[in-house]
Amino acid sequence: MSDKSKLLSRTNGLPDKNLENKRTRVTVTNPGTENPRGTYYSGAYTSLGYDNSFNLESFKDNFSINILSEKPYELVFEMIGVDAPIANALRRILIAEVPTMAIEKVYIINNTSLIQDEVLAHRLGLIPIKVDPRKFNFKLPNKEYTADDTLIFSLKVKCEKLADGTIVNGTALSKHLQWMPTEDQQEMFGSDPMDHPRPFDDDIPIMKLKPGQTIEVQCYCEKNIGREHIKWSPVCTASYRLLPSITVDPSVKGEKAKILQSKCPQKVFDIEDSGQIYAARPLDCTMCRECIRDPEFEPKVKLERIRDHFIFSIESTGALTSRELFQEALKIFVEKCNIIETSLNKLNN
Amino acid sequence: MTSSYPNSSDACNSFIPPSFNVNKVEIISDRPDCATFVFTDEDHTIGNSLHYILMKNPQVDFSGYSIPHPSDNRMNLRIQTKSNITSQEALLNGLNDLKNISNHILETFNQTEK
Ligand code: SF4
Repeated sequence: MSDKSKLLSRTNGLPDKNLENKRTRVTVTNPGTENPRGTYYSGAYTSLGYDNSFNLESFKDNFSINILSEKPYELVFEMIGVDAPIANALRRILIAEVPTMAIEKVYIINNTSLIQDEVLAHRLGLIPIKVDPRKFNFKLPNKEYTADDTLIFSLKVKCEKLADGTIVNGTALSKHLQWMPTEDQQEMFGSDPMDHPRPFDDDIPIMKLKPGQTIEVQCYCEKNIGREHIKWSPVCTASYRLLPSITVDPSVKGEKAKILQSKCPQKVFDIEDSGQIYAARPLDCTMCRECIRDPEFEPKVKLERIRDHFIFSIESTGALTSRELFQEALKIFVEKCNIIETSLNKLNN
Repeated sequence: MTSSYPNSSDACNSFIPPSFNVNKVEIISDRPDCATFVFTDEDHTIGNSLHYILMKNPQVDFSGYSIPHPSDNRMNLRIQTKSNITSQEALLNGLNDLKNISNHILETFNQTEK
């Protein structure tokens, strides 16, 4: 490291208040957003004595994760001290590059229902299958199906009208999909039916049937990623937003504070005993901008978002838990870098 | 659009589809300190994060990426360095930084309470 960069600091931020605000905040105003783009050039603030380059140690010092709510298939957490390109890469990997299993080939043996074969096949493909994709390989084209790259389900539903007039099987549901294991697979998943591969939800309607109509199909599940087709995407959504930061000028007090408080549909503001208003629940803020719409309050309320504070939410479709999905995404990110590295090194030899 | 698949099953790993694994990068360059790297089957995920981490490297003068056409599975990454390292070294450093970031996020995430 040169002497010059030793003099640069990272801890204190920029001396200029305006620039520091630009660096760390996205400002929300009535006409729109200001400074949405971060400044990433290493030497951007050199003349002000601030080191904007990447340093692993200071990244580690600043980085933290805080879980806000966790259910098996719904995870919300704060990720602090990371920049948008990294958070965005993880979001994109979650949506498009974490593999799952989904129905890819459908062999139609009989279909006398109203739904065409190709529409039926498409609907079957979109049913989330609850099975750990890490147990399977990607299927190579022009190869036979094997136990470790393919799962087979059979769907056989016949709609009938009984003597007393009740109709059975008026709707073919995802629970009618029966897993057809090979011997190896039976061993792999054990005897407990809860551990067996199955549709994540039992009651997804596949099609409506009238008495006398039948469908009989065989479905072949393969492993792939969401970039190939959205049916392989492991998440309903993976998204993030930046933490809102709302500052109210101290001059807003008493009656005025009450008016401002009542403007917010999300009840973000509380009023202290002294009559001072402050944002008590910034996490609830939806950035609806209602609090700055009134010209009276516009100059008094500062609506901002903190540039490196992400509120990440991952909603899984069921193959893996949200926690596992995020772990997988990080591993895939590393793996992608490794592949590029290997390919670069190959070029040089 | 899909690149040729390798025939052996050992090209399979559990993360990345095998087709995305071949001839990942090409280099177009006539000077050691600047180059355009042409990635196959990569998009904004790697493009933007590499661009970001390279910009954050004090030895790099310029980096930028583009996806010339949406139905073409290519991504171009341009790197110009300040001449004390080659553009390839800069790229390798960038990849290393990304891996370190990822590993640290994973470690921190694993330590959080269930
Ligand atoms: S932007 Fe909307 S939700 Fe946020 S504090 Fe203002 S009024 Fe409340």
